Amino acid sequence: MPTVQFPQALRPKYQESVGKRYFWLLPGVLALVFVAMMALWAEFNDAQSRNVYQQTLMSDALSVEAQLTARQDMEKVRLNDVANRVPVGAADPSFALARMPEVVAGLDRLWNRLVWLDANHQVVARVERKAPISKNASEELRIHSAGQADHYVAAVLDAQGVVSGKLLARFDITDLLRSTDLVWLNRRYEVNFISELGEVIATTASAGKRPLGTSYEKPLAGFKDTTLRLTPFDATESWTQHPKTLALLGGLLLLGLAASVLTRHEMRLVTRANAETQTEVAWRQSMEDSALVGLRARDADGRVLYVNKTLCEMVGYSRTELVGLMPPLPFWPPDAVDDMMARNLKTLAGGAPKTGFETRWRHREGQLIDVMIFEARLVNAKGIHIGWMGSIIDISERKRLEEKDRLHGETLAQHARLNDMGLLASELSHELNQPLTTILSYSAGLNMSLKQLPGIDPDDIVAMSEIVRHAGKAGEIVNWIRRQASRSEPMRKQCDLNAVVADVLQLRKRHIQRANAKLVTDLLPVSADVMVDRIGIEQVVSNLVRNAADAVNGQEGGGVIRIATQVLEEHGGVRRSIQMTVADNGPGLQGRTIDMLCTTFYSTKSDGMGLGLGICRTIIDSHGGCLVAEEAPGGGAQFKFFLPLVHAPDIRETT
Amino acid sequence: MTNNQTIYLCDDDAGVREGLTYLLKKAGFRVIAYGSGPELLAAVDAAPKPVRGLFVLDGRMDPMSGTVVHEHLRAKGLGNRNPVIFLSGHGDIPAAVSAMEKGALSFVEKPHTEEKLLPLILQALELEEKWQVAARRRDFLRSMWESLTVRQRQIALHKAEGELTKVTSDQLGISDRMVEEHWVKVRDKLGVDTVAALATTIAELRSSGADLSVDGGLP
Repeated sequence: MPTVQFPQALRPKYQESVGKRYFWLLPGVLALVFVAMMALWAEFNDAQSRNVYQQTLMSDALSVEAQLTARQDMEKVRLNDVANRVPVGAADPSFALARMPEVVAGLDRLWNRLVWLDANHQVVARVERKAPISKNASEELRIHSAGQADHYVAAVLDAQGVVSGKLLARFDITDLLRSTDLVWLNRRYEVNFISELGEVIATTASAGKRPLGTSYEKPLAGFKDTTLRLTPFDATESWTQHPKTLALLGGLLLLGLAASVLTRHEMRLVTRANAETQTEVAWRQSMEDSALVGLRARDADGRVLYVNKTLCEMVGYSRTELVGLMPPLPFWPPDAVDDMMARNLKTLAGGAPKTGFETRWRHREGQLIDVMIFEARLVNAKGIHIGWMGSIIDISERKRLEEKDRLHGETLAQHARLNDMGLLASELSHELNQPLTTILSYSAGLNMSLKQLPGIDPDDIVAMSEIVRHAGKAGEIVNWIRRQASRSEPMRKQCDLNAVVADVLQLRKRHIQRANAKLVTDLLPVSADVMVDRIGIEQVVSNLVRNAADAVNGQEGGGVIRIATQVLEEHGGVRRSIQMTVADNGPGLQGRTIDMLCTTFYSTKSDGMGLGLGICRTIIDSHGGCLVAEEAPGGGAQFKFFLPLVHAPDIRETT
Repeated sequence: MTNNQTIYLCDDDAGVREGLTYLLKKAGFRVIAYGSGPELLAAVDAAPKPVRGLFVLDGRMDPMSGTVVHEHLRAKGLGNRNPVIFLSGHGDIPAAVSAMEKGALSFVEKPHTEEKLLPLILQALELEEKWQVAARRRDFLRSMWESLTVRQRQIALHKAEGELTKVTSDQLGISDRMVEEHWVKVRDKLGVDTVAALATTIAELRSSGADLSVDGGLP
């Protein structure tokens, strides 16, 4: 992406807050918090269940202890039964004792040996079990080390209730354990009985089944130096050992982190896009504001949607004042509102000229401004026409300059006209002064000669003097006219162009004859009245005729000069003018334009001053006509000029 | 009016030229008329020197205007010998004034009457006589000056300032005797007896615009 460096003022003002900047962290943090809370909860839960488990374990151990104690108590009761009924005084006490059913049952059940001692600790009788106990209540209990024995003692009383001896029932602890029903326990625990020395006396351990739980040991009350150890098969499971839970939490954490990463990525994109948008907005704004062209957007109803700074400055209203307004707009001049409303409707209908149109607005402070407006269709993204975008250029200054130029041009033209009239007069006076000088010189010389002649008639001398005087007078008049003409506008009078032509031809007769040219005239049969400076127009006609004569001078086969006047109708007869043509069959214009021909001091003739045609054009122009040079049909040059007709109602009938 | 004075007339208009020639001849002047400036100038060049008389020039001529012809005449050194009268056909005052500033005697507006023109011509011819005398004197003085050597000119200029011989010899680095000897030559050549006469002659030379530099006019 190309970076655009903006001056400080144009730099985007977009600055994200810290909260917004780290928003992307939220999913990850939430996931982390959730997982931590779950772990805590699971940990607490686990601790509780461990507690319960421990309790169960302890109570189970107590139950075992109670069961064993109960067994021992029962055995003690039974031994007491035997003690109460020992055959005192029997001949063979051992025999008698062995015959006692209780003793037989006792030996079968548990006892290894029963010894009867008298008060003097002398053995009275003894009974021993020969075979090991066959009955085995607890099949699974394997005896690792038999031999740890214990004994019960019961007092033997005589008839008087005096202690006469005692019974000692000796038993193997392992037998006691084996004969105790501990099946309920085996299912859940590996049960070990451990001696004082730490060796395992009996155990339910088997290779196929391994305990997982934490062992619990309890010294058995009523058993000397024997400890019960319970090791549960089912371990109390920690949540950390649950793969599913871990997978779930891990997945959640991953999801959270992934969400964070994605969010961050997205946020960066958004931030960048935002910055770019702001940059572009700033750029466009600055462009619009710095534009010299006023911009104005309007919807299809003419409501102002947008104006730029330039336009605001142009009309003196602020953006907020203008946006939303419907026509008529506040900067329309009050006296032109109706016209502008009409044009506004036309514009909204699509009738505005593509080349723009000029109008005049009024600045808030009252001064009028000339503007040029170009309207362009405003089309939305779907291609639907939704309004108009107007570009407005302030052309007040240009208009002012144009007006100034125009006035200046007019002044110049006026000066040029006066100057040209002066030139014309100068030309005329030169033309006249030359012959007048000649006349004066000859007549003065003659006068001198005449005076010296003998017998001269005095009247002749007077006549000669008169010639001199009048020629001098004529010269003075010419000079006076020149001086007058050089500082005043010519007088215009209504006169007949035909008559002017006739006068000129009369004057130029010799010139034409000398050029050996044939003159053809085609004049209007009636008077063609024009409002002209007769002297000026005569000069023009005279000039054109003289030029034509010069052009055909020496022409092989004879030159022809054609002079014609005719009425031209323009605009269906509304404006009519008279056209005068002077044509010759000379060498023609040879590519020279009327502008070249009219340049002052431009002359194709060796003796020409280069003033004639320029003066002619100036004179014609000053009469509102125009002078044209073109190739004549059939060769040669043709000069035409047009003059507006004053009024000639009879001309239409006759032409 | 002396017989050796001629009126050189120049006008491109044949009518005016011939008419004026006729009039001036009738009035008793010697007139030579030319149709253009170049013709006149060529004739002036060919004429024996000094050219005597005056010039009557038409202001507006083709191909060479009267003003230009006047310029040429001045360039030939005739500006302070032969008066020039302009015939102005158009009363264009600026051109006439400019011509007068450059030494033309006068101008006459066409059409002119003999009452105006003839006295002017007579006056001009009288003036020409004086101008010619002055010119001759000028030429004479100048030729005398030019006959001096560089050293003699130096001595003459110093003497004219009223310097003593000692001062002059000191400044020029020559002996008093040499200064005195040169002074004798100068007096001889310039035809002056005293320092006062010398000073007058030098002043006259200066005012005539002569080149008084010590090596002026030397080959």
